[in-house]
Amino acid sequence: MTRLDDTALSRRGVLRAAAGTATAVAAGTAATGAAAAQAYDGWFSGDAKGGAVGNYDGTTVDRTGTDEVTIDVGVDANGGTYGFGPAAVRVDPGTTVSFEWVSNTHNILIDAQPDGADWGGHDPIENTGFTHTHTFDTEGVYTYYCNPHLTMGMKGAIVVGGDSGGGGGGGSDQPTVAADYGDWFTKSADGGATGNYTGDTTDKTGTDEVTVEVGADANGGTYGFGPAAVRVDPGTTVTFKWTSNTHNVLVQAQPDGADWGGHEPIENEGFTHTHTFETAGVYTYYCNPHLTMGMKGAIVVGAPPSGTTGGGGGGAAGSSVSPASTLWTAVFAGAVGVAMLVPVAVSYYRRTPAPDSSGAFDYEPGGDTDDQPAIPEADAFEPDTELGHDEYDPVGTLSIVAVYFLILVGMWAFTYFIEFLGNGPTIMG
Amino acid sequence: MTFIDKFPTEAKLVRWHFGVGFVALAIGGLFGLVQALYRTGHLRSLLPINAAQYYTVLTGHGVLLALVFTTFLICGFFVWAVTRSLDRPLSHPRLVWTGFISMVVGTTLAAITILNGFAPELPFGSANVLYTFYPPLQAHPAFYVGAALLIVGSWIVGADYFLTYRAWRADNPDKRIPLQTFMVLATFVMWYLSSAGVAVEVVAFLIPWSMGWISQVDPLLTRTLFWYFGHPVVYFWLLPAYLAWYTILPKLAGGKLFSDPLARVVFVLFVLLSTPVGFHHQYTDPGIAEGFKFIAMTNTFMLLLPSLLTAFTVVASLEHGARQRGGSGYIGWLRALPWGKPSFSAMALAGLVFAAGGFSGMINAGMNINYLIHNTIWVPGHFHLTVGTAFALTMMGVAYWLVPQITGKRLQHRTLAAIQPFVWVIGMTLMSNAMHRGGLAGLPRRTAKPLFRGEGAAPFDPVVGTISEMQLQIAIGGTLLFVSLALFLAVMVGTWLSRPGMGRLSVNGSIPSALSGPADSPRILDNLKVWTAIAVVLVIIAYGLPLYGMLADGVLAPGSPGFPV
Repeated sequence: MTRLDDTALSRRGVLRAAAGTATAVAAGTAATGAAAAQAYDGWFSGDAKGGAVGNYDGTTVDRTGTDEVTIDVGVDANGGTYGFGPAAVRVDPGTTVSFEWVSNTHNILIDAQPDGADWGGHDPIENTGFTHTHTFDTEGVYTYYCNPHLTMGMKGAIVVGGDSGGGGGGGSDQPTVAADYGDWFTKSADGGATGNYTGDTTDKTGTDEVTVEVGADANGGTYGFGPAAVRVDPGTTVTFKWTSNTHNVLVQAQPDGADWGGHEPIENEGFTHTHTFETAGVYTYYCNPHLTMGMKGAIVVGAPPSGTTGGGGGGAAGSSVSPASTLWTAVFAGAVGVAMLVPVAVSYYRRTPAPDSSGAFDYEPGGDTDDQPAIPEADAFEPDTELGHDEYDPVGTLSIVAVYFLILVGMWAFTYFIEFLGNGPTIMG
Repeated sequence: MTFIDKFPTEAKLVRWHFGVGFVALAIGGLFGLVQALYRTGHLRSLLPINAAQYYTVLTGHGVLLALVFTTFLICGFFVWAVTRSLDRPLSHPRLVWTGFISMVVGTTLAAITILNGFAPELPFGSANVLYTFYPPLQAHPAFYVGAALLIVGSWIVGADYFLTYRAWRADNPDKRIPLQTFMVLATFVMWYLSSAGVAVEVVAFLIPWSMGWISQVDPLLTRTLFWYFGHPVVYFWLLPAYLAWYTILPKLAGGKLFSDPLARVVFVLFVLLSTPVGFHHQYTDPGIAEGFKFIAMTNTFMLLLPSLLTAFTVVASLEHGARQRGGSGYIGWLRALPWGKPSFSAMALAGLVFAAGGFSGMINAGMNINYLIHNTIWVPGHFHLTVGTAFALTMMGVAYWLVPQITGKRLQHRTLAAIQPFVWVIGMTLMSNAMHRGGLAGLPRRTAKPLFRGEGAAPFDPVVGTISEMQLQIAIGGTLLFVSLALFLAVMVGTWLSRPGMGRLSVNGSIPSALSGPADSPRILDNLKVWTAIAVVLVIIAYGLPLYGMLADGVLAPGSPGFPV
């Protein structure tokens, strides 16, 4: 899921994020595409927003088997009271986590959470003694931070569920990868929709060697990868086999640390390109000459997350909707729909002739006919004393216009001499 | 005779235009409430949107209210004005239906792409490009096609105003054009001249670009074409309100229009000066020489003249009504006006609020002082006074008076109607004053979370009050506006659904002649060909060289690929 960082939505943030998805710069979709995959997706590293986290040493504290877990907010770390303690923790699904403020002026904003999770964080800034609790039911990785101290590195992560048997091994070893391609196969991405991507990811896990056809019949010609989306185990060698002419394979996005170079030269039928995929995550690629036909593909390296099938994809960038807001959206849409239907329903009701309504008749526009009288208007206003052109002297208007001019001049002088000369242009600041 | 009995076909046309416009008003108004609350942080967590969808809401609010609601209301209102003042049916009602259907189809296409931001399952793609749809922000082609159909539909409707006028002229070769028809024709001359800019932008550049037929467009050129249309469009909204203030409001006040010739002069000045002013929206754009911005500024300040003439004429007409009702004194006559009558109070209050909007418009227009408030929330504060009140509230007043005449039904819920304009003005006063002051403090516009980055309100420097107090005023004001809108819609729906033929209407459709009639004015005022020709020359002076400069380095260069949003 390409989750637009909710808090980074300054005006430029939106432009940047939109541009990132649109032109599909590698960093954008790839990094987040494998979000649930590994090492918290670099969340604790210096590359993520807010920089490195001093009190994360690579280990995830294992608190599975406990129903209630406490995380301290504002522990000594990162050069002050700017840490979550512990920074990374693993819990079982259904665990209630209490966040206890142990120093002042912190809040909890969510960076990312699994699809379907409904944790809202705690936006208001609170002081020592405050507690925020949430029960984590949805499996996956949750990353969060304290907004005022983000730049100090006050960030945290919670792993819910997963292979907890081994104990405190840390989230970095999770080999599960969701088949989430963002909008890569949709019409919103470069090149438009991919006709031969049906929403299913072909599962080829358990096989050491997998073949992908380059130039399969699809998208109105020989413009498809067959299969368009495929899931393999880490270490699988994938053979790209050209089955028609003038195609290449360019990598759109791949996980951090992956080294697939694709195959840029344009080749014809019979050519093969092989690569062994070691790094878990989502790889997306395309054929440059036929991108606009929708010749795009994806490879997921890693096991599917528990409880999910190979599907996914399709979500529009930026619309990360939690269940709560989905409910609201439904209520909202329903209300608009009902509101629009009400007039129809009511007019049907009102049109039905009421019994014995005195004076009522089935009115048809067109005036006085045999069946109906015309609709009478109110009487026109008749002044007691008619004031003609020559008797009328608009002194009241003059007074009002004079007052208006005085106000205008006063406000203009204030805006120019005090605001403008005193403060200077705000757009430059 | 009531309008619906005299002109049933035209009454039906007006009803349909108003009906679609009111649906757009309802949805766009709801978006406005969501926006005001989200942006100010009040009840943000309860709102069904996230920060990215704020821009969907913003686009919907702008497009549905500023383009759809306005255009439908204007086209319908003008059908009434032409028919009533020429006292003859439309010459080609089918043409008007064609235009109407084109506008409905266009609106539907654009609305679907905008709503895509909430529900990606809808057909087409999304269009969070905001009301100005600046490239390189790129919408789905359906959005641009929809916008084009809306504009073209209004052109088709407008064509029949001219055809009907021509038929009337053939029967009345020597008469002066009735004032309302003159105003309609002048408005549409201005509209044809100016909306050509956005038509070229959309049809020649944005549609091919969003379809992928051309890879890039020149953002400066397309912005310039947008603002070539984007300022005159505000007069396209305003002039119908002026038509109501000049011809309906004096009658509602119990008086007569002070001067028919002065009204004609005002409309001629708008034909001449509305279009060559668009650069004043681009004072901070690079690539346009200062001198051309200066020409736009002087033209803009000259446009103050017709608005100040209007202020004088309309107030003098109201005073005439007040004195006929027994009012007296320099200021005291205001009490004699029928403030309890919703059609009157809505229009009169709209005019009052517009006077305040005129002030902030003067600040916007000044080339240096504009830098103080450019791209701040001051600007929305300004146009909520103008299109958001001067137009919208005037049209609500028109509806209270006209809807009974086009439906044959008595106005329902008259108490609600009587308080509605006052609730609107209170809400707008709270919201708009806070927006203006926030703008002076540097609060940005078009931003979901203006206080982001953990610094809260600290970077902003209000002169009086605090940022949080302004935010609260915006939230409360926006809520009151929504309440007022709901009252208006309740009155309209109730009236619309009530039974016709239930007795005498509460309104009277006759309009008295002016105190000083058209016979006192030179005939050249009615010669729209002359004024159109001069307007074209002024446009060439203001836009010829800068457009040539933008085109000289290649039509699509310097270009930018699209960023779909």
